[in-house]
Amino acid sequence: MFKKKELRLIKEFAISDFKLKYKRSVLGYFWSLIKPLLMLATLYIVFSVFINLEIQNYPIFLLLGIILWNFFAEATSSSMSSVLAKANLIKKVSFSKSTVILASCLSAFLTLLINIAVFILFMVIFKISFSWTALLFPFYLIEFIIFIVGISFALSALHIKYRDIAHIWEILLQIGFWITPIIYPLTKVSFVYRKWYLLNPLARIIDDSRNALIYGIAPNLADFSAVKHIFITIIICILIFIFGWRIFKKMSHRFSEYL
Amino acid sequence: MKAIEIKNLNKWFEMNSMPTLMDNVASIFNKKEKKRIHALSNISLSVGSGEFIGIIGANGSGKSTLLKVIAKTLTPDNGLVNIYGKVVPFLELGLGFNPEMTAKENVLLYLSVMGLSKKEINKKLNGIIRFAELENFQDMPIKDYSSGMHARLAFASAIRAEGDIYLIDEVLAVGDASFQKKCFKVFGELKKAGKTMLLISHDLSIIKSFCNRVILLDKGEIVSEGRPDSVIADYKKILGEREILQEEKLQKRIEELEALYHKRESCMVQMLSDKTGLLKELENIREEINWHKNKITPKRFGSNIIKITNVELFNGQSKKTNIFRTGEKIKIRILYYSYKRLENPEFGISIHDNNGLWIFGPNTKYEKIKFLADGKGEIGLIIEEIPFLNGTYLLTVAIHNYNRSEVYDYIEKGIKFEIQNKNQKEEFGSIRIPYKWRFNIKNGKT
Repeated sequence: MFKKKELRLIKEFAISDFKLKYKRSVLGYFWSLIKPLLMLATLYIVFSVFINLEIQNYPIFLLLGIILWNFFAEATSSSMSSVLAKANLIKKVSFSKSTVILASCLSAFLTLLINIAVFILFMVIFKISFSWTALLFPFYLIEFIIFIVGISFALSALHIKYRDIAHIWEILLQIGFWITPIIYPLTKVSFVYRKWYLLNPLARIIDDSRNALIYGIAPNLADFSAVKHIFITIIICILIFIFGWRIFKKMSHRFSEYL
Repeated sequence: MKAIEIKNLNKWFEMNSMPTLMDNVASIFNKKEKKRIHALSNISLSVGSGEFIGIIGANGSGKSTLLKVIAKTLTPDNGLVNIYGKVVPFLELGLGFNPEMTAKENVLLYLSVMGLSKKEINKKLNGIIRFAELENFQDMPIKDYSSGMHARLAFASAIRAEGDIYLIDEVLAVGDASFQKKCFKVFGELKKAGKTMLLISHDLSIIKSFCNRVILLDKGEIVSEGRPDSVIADYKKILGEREILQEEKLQKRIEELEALYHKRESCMVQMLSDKTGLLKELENIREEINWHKNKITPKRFGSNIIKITNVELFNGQSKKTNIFRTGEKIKIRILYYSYKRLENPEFGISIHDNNGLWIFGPNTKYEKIKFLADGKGEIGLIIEEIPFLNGTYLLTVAIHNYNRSEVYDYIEKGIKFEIQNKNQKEEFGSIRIPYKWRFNIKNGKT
C-alpha cells in the first residue's frame, strides 16, 4: 500500500509530533507516564477503598485497562485534529494525506509502548509472573491498531467537513469510558446484555488482553464459542478499518478546499 | 518533451464551503441549487519541459487556482491534468512550516514531504540555511522569525527540493533587494538546468525578463497567450477597459439621476402644495449626483507654468451654453494665466465622443501660430458649423511647449457639451457631412 517514501514521511511526522507535544514542558516525556498513573491512583482509591469491587490484583487490572483506553482515546482524538493541525502544509504541498493520520496513531503508539514498560514494571512489583499467554497480547494489539486506524481515518475525514464531529467524539469518548470494561470486569455485565455489550470491540480487546497478560488464560480453541469470539473480533475490526479507509479516500482529495 | 498538459480543465468553488452537519441534513429534504463560482473554465495548456511561463491577470482571475490545481492541492471538477515530473510548489509565500519548530526541523520535515531521503536532506540542510542567511538563527523556533526570514527560508528550501517543475506564486514580494538578486540568479540557474517554471507575478518587468511565454487569465479563462510583449499589452488593455467600464457605469447613473431630477422638478412646479417634501427629495438627489460626479474627476496634470483658468462655450448668439444643434456655430474660449514669459506655447483641443472615440484635435502648432504668453490671456477656437449629430462630447484642453517636451496644463475630458436636435429622427450616424443626392451618375461623372 505504501512506498518507502511514505513510510519515511510517517516516521518523520510521528517524531515531530512526539517532540512538539512535550516541547517547553519541564517534565517532558514523563507526562505520558504521569497521566495514566494519576488516573490509576484516583480510580484505585475510589473503586477499592470507597467502593470495593473485590477484584484480584485490582491495580494491575485497572492499569492495563487505562493504558489501552488512553491509547485509543489519544490516537483517535489526535488523528482527528491532525489534518487541521497540518492544514498549512496540506494547502501548499501535495502528498499522501493518510500519512498524517498514520503518524498520529504511531505517535500515540510510542506513548503506549512507554506505558507498557511501566505496566511490566508493575507486574514485577506485584510479583505476578507472565504465563506463555502473554505472547497472545501482540496479536490483540494488532487487532486493536487496525480498529483504531479505521476509526481515525473516518473521524479525521468527517471532522474536516463537519466540525461538529469534534464535540460529538468528545461526548462519545466520555460515554465509551463507562461502557468499556476498564474499571470493572466483563463478568460484572449481566448475560442478558452481554451480547450487545460485546459489539464494542474495545470491550473484547481489553478483556482478552487482561486474560492473556494478567490471568494467563488463553482462548480454548476446542470450544466453538471461543473461536467464534476471535473471528467476530477480527471481522469487526477489519470492517471498521475498511469503512474508515473508504470514507477517507473519498474525501481526502478535497481536504484543502475545506481547510 | 512535455512537462504539463492540461485539457478542458474546469474548477468551481462552492460559496458555502463550510457546511455544518445541520446543513447537510437540511439539504436532503431541501434540494437547493448551490451557489458556485466558476474559478477556471475550459483551460487548455501545454507546457514543454524547460519552458519558463509567466501567468498574469487581475486579482481573482484564477492564477493561483490554476497553480494549485497543477500542484494537486486542489482537485479539478473535470478535465485532464497530466504532469510529467516532480512538482515543487511555492504558493502564497510559504510551505506550511510549523511555527513551533526550528528552521532545521522544518526544512527536514518539508523535504521529507517532498520525498527526499534523510541522507539527501542532511547533505542539503546547511546549504539551505546558508542560502537563507539564517546561520545564526537556525535553532530558534521559526515563530520568532521576521516575515522576511520566514520567506527566505521557504524559498531556499523549495529551490533545493530537486523538482522538475517549479510553481512560483508572487515570491518576490518579500525579501530585500540583495535577496531578490539572489533569487533571480537561482532562476537563471534553474533555466540553464532545463527546469520548467510557472511564475505568477504582478511585477510585469520580472515576467518580461524571465518568461519565454506568457498566459493572460481573465475571469478564469485564458484570454491571451504568446510572446511576453504582446500578452502584456493585452493585459494592459483589459485593465484600461475595466476602468472605462467603471466610468461608464457612473456616467449612466448620473444620467439616470439627472432624468429623475428633471422629472421631480417638473412635478414640483405642478404640485406646489407639497413643497417641503419635494424640496427635501430634490436636495437628496442633487447630493447623490454630486457624489457620483466627484468620482469621475477629470484627469488634470502639467507643470502649471501656464494654467488654464477657465474654458467657456458660446453659441452663435454669443450665449454661454453647453447644448448646441448640428450646424450651429460654437465658440470655445480658453482663459489662461502664464506665470512666466513664454514664447510660442502650443494650445490644443481634442473632442472625444462618449464612447471614447477621438473625433477632432486641432492645435496651434499645426497652424504655425506663434505668439507670446505672459500673464493673463485668452485664446479662442471658432467652429463655424458643428457637424456632430446628437450625443454627448468631451473636450480636452492642453497647453504644451513648442516641441511638446513639457506639458504645462492638461485637462483630460474635463468639459462636456451636448448636441441636441429636436427632430433628428431620420438622420442617422454620428456626423453631418454636406451632401447632395443626384440621379443618373455614370462613371463617377455627374
